[in-house]
Amino acid sequence: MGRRLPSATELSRGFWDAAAEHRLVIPCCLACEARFFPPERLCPTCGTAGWDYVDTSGAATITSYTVVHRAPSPDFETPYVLAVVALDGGGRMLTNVVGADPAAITTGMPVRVVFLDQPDDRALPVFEPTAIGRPHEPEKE
Amino acid sequence: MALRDVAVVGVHATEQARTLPHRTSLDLAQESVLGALADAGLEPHEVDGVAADWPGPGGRRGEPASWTSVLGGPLSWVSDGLLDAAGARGVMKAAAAISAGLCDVAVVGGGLAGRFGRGQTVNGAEDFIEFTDVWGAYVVPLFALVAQGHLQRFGTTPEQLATVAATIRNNGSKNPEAVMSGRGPYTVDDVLASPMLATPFHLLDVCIAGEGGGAVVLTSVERARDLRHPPIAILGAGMELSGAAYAAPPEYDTVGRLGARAAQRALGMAGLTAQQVDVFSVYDPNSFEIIRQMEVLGLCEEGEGGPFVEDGNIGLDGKHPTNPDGGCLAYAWNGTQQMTLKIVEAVRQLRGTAVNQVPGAETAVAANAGSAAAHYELVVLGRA
Repeated sequence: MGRRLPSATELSRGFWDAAAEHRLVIPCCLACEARFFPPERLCPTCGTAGWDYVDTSGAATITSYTVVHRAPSPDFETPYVLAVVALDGGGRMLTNVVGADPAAITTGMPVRVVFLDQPDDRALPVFEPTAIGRPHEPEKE
Repeated sequence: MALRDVAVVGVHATEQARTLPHRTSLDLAQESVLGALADAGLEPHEVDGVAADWPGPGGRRGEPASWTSVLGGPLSWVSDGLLDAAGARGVMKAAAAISAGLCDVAVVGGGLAGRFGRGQTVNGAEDFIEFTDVWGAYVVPLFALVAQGHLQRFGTTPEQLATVAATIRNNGSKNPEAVMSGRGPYTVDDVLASPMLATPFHLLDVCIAGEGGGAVVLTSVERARDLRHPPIAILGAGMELSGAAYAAPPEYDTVGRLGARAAQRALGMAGLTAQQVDVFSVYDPNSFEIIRQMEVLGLCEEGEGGPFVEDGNIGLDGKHPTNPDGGCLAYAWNGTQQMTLKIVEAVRQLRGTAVNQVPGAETAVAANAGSAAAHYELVVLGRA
């Protein structure tokens, strides 16, 4: 499924650059080590400005989800799963869960990141259930 | 002067429809503001405070001082910003300005036609839309994430959601001004049989987007005594914001109780409990938001909203009649000014002139919310 990805911003460039290499990174505060998403100028936990993108294991747990049957655009095949996942190591992000029957999705389900390659050498991180998914994709060179 | 010394003295709602191709936003905004003034028995030049959207053309779009071309001038007080020019937030800010002596007569409202779709997406800032749109998130599934959390945690059922939708839609069915006037009546089964949009929401669980306008006029209770209608005082008010709309993914755990503190503040100010309020005119972009708000307003405990609505509490004949006009689900959702329509309905109920009148209603809660529980605003209104 082809998605129109937005232009990266000053805050998100590191995220999209890593995603293109099939790495999932999120902001980690240099002062309090809180991990957060989406990227904000200031750490939402302690309010300081310094943070770096850090690698995640790509492992996560579904905390909320909905099965969407009406898409906002033809870019999305329905039904699809919109979910919030808690990343191992901290931080939560909105995403899709793929590679499973939507009816089989539950909260608390362990998932891991996979990447949907898009035109222009970009990629979108989504997640699939750990138990029934395919093996982790090898990282690009 | 305190907030309760300020009253809503005039209201007006324009025609509401899915589209109004024969109208412009300015046309609707102007009808709303002048209509509310006429309802109050006030002349346009008497207005010195404006929290009303100026859509252009002419003047400067988004700048409330542009209203001087319609109202005369000069103005003593203005408030701008999308949500400041509508509903409970607009009313509480205008009332605060009047009670502080910054102006004497203020209008709140606006209108929308012809640019609905664009208006909705412009609302977001681009640096966070990138982390919602890419995963196919939009307002219905974002609200659905919050609702799913409630279903899972408390065992709330799709039938209970459908009960809300059927109840409020059936109110709207009897409202000649409603976009869905004459449609229905709906049963719980009808709602459950409608197409699924995003679990747990069926088509009939959510409101439809449309166009229209509305406005209200406020002045001091003292001055209101000489006007056409009995003054409806602002007994209490409060707002609560969890963060920028759609910036962080909404989940029940983080935003599910949004509004509880605001409700406590507003009801405390009014010296009322939620149980003592006669009628509720609250945000209903979907069925679940009513269940959530019944809980945060304090009408029932957290998690008990499902059984609460199933017991008939929110019906016209129930203990806590909610959205007698049909709400956003059946009366109108028109962008921002649906928020003002919540005030209009509450005022009509307290005047005793509403279409589905709650007999003897003396107090009302009008509330707005949105962006998947990112903000909540309410006013408690009562006959002065």
